[in-house]
Amino acid sequence: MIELIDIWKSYDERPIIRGLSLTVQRGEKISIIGPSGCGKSTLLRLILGLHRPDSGQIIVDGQDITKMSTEALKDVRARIGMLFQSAALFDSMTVGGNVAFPLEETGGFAAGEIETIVAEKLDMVEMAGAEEKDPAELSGGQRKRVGLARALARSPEVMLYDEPTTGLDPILSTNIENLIVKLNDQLHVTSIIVTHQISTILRVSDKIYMMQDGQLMPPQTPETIGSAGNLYTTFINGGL
Amino acid sequence: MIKEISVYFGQRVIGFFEELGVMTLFFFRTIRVMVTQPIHWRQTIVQMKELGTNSFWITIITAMFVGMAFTLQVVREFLKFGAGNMIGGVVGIAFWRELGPMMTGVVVAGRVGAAVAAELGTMKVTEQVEALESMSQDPIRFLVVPRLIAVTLMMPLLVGVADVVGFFGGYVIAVGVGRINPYLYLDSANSMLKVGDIGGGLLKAGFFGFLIAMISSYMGLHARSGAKGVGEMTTRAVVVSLIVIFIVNYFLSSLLYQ
Repeated sequence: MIELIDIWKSYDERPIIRGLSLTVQRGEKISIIGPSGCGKSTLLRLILGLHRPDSGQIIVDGQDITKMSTEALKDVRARIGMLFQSAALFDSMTVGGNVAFPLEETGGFAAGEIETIVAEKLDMVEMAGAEEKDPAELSGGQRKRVGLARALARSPEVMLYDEPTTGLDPILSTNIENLIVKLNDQLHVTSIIVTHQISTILRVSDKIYMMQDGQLMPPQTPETIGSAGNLYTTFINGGL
Repeated sequence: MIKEISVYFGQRVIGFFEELGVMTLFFFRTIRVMVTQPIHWRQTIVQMKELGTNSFWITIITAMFVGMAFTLQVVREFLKFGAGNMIGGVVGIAFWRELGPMMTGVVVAGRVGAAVAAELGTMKVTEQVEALESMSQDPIRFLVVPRLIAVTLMMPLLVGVADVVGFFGGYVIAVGVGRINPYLYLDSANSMLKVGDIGGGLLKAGFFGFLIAMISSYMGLHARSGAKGVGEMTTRAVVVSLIVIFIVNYFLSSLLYQ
């Protein structure tokens, strides 16, 4: 379970997150929506411990990660995977090298074992046989898939998705959405998705949160969001 | 008006010292990581090839022509005073003490400094650095330390090659244009050059390599988003590296060659 309690975060003295609280149960799929620059991506980085909040607590499986050293955070990060908005593949490595990277650097895996896991994860994201390709050869959608395979390499319990379908055409978006749903069904991972895409929100979420003024509004579901009124309806109608 | 000027300069001065502070913290953090965490040797070897070996030919070509141009000037003047028998020694001392390290420093600051800042800057703005952190990898250990070790170790090798090539570039001109006896050229170098001249030049090279890698890595990892941000930091990496090398060279020379 992930619990954020009264989180505050500012950049250059500009408050981005103001007293935000959120609880995500194990296996849940939640989406966070909101206008650009409202702090959605920052929220994911806080959960992963990439940024520290100014105040508040972030509890991951009973441990407050805001007080942890970088060394202690390693164990927490090993249980969390993140798909970055730009996929963030390492240009200097092949696709296989990218997916193998977290396994090689963590240690504890034999070379043959790593090869098997890489092939398995690439197959999972429908990129089987792409090990030797260069990231520069891939399309936007393929890069996202490889990024997803890399995030899944260590079999995380929690997946964070930062705009997983932004910038992709509708067909590729649908493919990625199908993948998120499939992975959730197969692996039962907890998913937190930050997105702008209405189709993504409706297809992959159990709960949908709107972020406004550094806080989260009461959640909606894909069934209720259209009739929720207020900012949710404005968002669905393309007004935000 | 005076108030506005004061505010402007005040902000510039505060900004300068703020950046200097951040750079100093980065320096000490890098040293701490280098000392306390295992070195990523595989990355270090990759970087030695990328940043060192691949700078080999540009260094040789530059050293050859600098050696030839320098000797061309020296040989004419020395011959007027009948000091042709000292040319080998003068070229050797000039190259091993100053020209080799400085010239290679400039070449490496341009080629390697720009490459490091641009690569790390691009990694920063395309979230690759955050991706590393998300996989519990310290960017300082994985990106900065291997480049720092690679450039620090490769610089003395490049300077050694540059010194030899530059010296023989001088030989070609001294013998070919100045009609100096080849034996005299080599003999004067043999009698005038000391081990300290060679060692001092190589020591300076190591310092320059360390500074170039440190400054360029700092600039790259502090790039702001977008191509413009990476471009700005790449330019700054080269400019700051050059200025620092020239300043440090003066102090090292006055310490090493008294």
